[in-house]
Amino acid sequence: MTYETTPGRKTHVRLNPPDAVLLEPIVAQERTAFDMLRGAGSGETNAWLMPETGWRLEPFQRRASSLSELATLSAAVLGPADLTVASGFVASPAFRQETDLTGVSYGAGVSASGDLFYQKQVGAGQSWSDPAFVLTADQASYPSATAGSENAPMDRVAVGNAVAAADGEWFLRFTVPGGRMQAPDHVLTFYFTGPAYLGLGQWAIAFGGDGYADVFERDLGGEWQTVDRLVYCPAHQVGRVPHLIHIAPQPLVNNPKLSGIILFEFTLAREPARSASAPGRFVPQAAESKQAVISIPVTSLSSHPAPIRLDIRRDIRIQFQVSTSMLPTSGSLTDDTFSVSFYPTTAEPYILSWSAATPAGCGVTGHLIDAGTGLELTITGSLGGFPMYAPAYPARTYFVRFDLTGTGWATPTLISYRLQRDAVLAASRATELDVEGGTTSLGITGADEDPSHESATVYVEDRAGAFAVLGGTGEFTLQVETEYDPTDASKRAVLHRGSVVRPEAVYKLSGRVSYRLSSVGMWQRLAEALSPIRFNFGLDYGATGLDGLPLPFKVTDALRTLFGLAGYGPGSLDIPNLPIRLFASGDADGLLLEPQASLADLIVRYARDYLGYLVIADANVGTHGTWRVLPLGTNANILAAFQSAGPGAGKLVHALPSYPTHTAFMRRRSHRTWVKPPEGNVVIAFGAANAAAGGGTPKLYKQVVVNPLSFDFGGAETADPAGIDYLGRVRPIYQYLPAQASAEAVSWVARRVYDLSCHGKRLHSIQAPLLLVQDMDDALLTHSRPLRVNDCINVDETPCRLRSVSPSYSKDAHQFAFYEAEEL
Amino acid sequence: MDTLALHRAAVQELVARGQGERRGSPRFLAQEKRSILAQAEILGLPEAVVPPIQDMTIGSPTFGQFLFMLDFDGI
Repeated sequence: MTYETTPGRKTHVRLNPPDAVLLEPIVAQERTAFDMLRGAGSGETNAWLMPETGWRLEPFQRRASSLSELATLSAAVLGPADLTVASGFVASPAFRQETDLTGVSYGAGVSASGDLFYQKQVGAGQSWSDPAFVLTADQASYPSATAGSENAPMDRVAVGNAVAAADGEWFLRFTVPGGRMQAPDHVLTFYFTGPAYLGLGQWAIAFGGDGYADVFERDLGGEWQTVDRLVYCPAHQVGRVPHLIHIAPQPLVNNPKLSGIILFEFTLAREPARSASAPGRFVPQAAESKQAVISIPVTSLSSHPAPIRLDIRRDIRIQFQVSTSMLPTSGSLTDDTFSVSFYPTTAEPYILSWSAATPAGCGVTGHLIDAGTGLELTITGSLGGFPMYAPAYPARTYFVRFDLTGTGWATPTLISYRLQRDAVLAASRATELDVEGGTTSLGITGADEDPSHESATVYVEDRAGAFAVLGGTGEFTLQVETEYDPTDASKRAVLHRGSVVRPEAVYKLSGRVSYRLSSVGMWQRLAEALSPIRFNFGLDYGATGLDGLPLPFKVTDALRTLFGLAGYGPGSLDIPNLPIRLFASGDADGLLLEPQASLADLIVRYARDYLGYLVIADANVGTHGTWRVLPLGTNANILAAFQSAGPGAGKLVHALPSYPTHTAFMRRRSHRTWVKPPEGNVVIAFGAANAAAGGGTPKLYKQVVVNPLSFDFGGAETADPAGIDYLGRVRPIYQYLPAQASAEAVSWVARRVYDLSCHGKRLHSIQAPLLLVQDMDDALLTHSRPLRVNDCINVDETPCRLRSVSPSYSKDAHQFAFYEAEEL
Repeated sequence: MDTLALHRAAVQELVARGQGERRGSPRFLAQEKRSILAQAEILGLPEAVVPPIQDMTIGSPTFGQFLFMLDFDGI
C-alpha cells in the first residue's frame, strides 16, 4: 500500500539540455517594381516602368522620332494589309530623306521615305459624305460610341482586318487641321480591346477639340457606356499640333495592383515660351507627356476582342496613323545596391525569386551581383526555376540585375523580386547542468490561449557549492521533466521548457546559497524575434488563381514563414496545410509585413482570426520542443476525467493508482466555478477597399453582427436576463481589417470575432494530481505528457476544454497541479 | 497587483478590445498601420452594400441565427 499520491514520479531539472540556437537570422529583401531603380547607381537599358504594372521592354514608338524615321518601325505601322481604310482616304508618307540637300547624310537605320499617314481627299464638287469616305456597313453593324451626341457626323473611316488582342498596345498619331481658336466637338474616336469592366472589354476613346477625351466601354447589350473623361491636351493646342497617343491596355495579368488597367500616354509639343533674354522671340519647349490610368477591378466578365476601328468627324481632314507597339528584343535592369542586415555564411544559400508575366517567347532572368566585386555570386542550384547562390562571408552588399527578353512584339513584365535565405541554426555549445539534486520545489504557470503566459520558478538549494555556475551566466535553457515509470527512467514527461532569465542567488549562513530560477516558456525565443524585413504575404509566387492572378499566401504558409523568420525550421514546427488564404487584393502593398513587427503576436493572431486555431509550444514533441498550430479541442477527444467522488470501497482516496487510467480526484474544496461574461455583444467589422478592389471607387465595407440574447435588440425584449450571454447593455467590438476589404472579408472577420468574443463562458478551476496522459489522436506524441491548454476533460460529468494547467509541488510523491477549464 | 489595479487593467483591456486593437505590438502590416491611422478617412468613404449574414427579423423562428456561409461553415 502506498501513501503517495503520484508514486513512481521523479522530477528532473535540466539546465542547458540539448538545444538548437539561432546563429544567423533569415534574410528576405522584397522589392516591388515601384521600389526599384530609384537610386543614382541603378539603371536600365530598353526598359520602362509602366504605371500600375511593372518593368517592361520599352516600345520604340514612345519616342516619336523612332516612328517617324527608322526603317524598322515601318513594320509596326498599320497599312493596307492590316487596316481597311475608306477609299477616299489617301496614304502619303510624312518623311523622306532630303537627299537633294548637299552635305546631309543619314544613319543606316533611317528609311529613305516612310511614316505613312492617311488623310481624306475631297475632290472639287465632291460631297463630304460621299460613300468613299465612310465604311457604312461597318458603322451600321458596330455603331459609333459618340452616336447621338455629335455636333457633326462621325464617320467610320478604318477598321482592322483582324480581331485585336485584349492586351494589344497601340500608338495613334493624328493632326487636327484648324486654328487655335477652334474647339470642335469630338474629332476622332479610336476603338480597341482591353480588360472587361462593365461589359465586353470593347473600348473607345473619343478625342474632343476642347482637349478632353471621353472613354467608353460597350456593355453586354452592345450599348456604349461612358467610363471616364480625361484631359489629353490643353484646349488651345488641339489644332495643328501632332498628337502621339499611346494606348496600353493590360488585362488581369498578375500585376501588382491585381487589376486590369488601361494606360493612356498623351504626348504633344508644348507651347513655345516667350524668351526672357530676347523679348518678342519665342523658344520651343521640350515635348510634354501626360499619363492617365483607368484601373479595372477583378470582375467575372471576360473580354470579347474586336478589330480596332477609327471614326473621324466628317468636316475635318485629320491626318492619322496607327501602329502597333514594337519593342526591342532585349533589355536589362540594374537595381539599387542594398545590404543584408547580417553577415551570411555559406551555411544556407540565397534564393533569388521574382514574379513576372512572361508571354510566349518572352523571359526574365535575375542575377545576384556582389556589389564589391561586380561579379555574380556562385550559383549552387535552382529551386522552382529560381537560382540559388552561395553567400561569401563577409560580403553582404549586393544588387540584382534582370535581363528581359522579348519577341519584338511581346514583352515580359517584371513585377517584384525577393531575395531570401533561411535562418541558420546550430546545436547549442552550452554545457548541460543537472541541478535536480538541489531542487526543493517548483511552480509552473502553464500556457493558456496566450502562450506568453507560460513561466516557471524553480528553487535550488546549493549546500555543497556545486552550482556556482548559476551565478556566472544570465540565461539558461531550462527543461523540467518528470519520470513516470519506475522501471524505465528514460520515460519522462516534460512539464516545462523555457529560458531561465533571472537566476537569483540568496546567500545564507555557512556559505550556503539558494537559487531562485525564474523561467519564461518557449515563447520568449519567439517573442524576441522581430521581423527584420519587408515581406509581402499578398503575393504567393508559386500560386495563381483561375483568373491568372497571383494568390495571397495560404494562412498556414504564412505561419510557416513567420516562424521561419523567427528561426524555427520545419523540424520544430507542426502546422497543418490548410487551403484558407489571407485576404488581400487590389494593392501593390498587398500584405506587406512591417519591419520590426512582432512575429509572435502576428502568428497568434493569424492562427486565431483566420483559422480559429491555437498556437501551442509543445515541449513533449521533438528534440527541442515543437511549435504546433492546433484546432480547438472538442468533446470528441476527452483525454481525462476529474471527479469529486472517491475511487470506491477499499481504495485509498488520495492515491492516483486507485482511479482508472487518465482519471483523478479533485482536491477537496478546490473546485470553483464562475461565469466569464462575453467580451462584447456586437461586432462591427469594417475596412476600406481602394479603387481597384472597390469596383472603381474607394469603398467602405462594413458588417454588423449581434448577440440578441445578451441585450434587448431591435426594440424587443430579446435578451435572456438569466442566460450566460447576458450583459443587459450593448457593448460593441470594432474590428478593422488590415488588408483590402470586401464583403466576404468583413463578414468572415465579424463571424470569427463574434464566435470568439460574444458568448459568456462558464469556467471551472480545480486542484488535482498532475495527470499524465497519452493522446492517441496525436501522431507526433511518443510518450505520456501532462495535460495542457486545449485538452478536453470531464469535470465530473461536464465536458470542458482546458484553459491552463499549472503544476506546483515540492515533493514528487505528491505532484499536484491547478487546472482551469471552460465548459464546452 | 491589488484588486482595483486588476480591475483597471481589465477595463483597459476591454477598451482596447472594443477598439479592435491588440495588447502587444501595434506593428504588423504596413497597410494595417496605415488603415488604423486613417480610420476617420475610411469611415467617410462611400459604403458598399454588404449582405447581412444573420437573421435579424424579430419574431422569425431563426432570429439571431447566422445564415449559411460557404467559406465559413463548409459543406
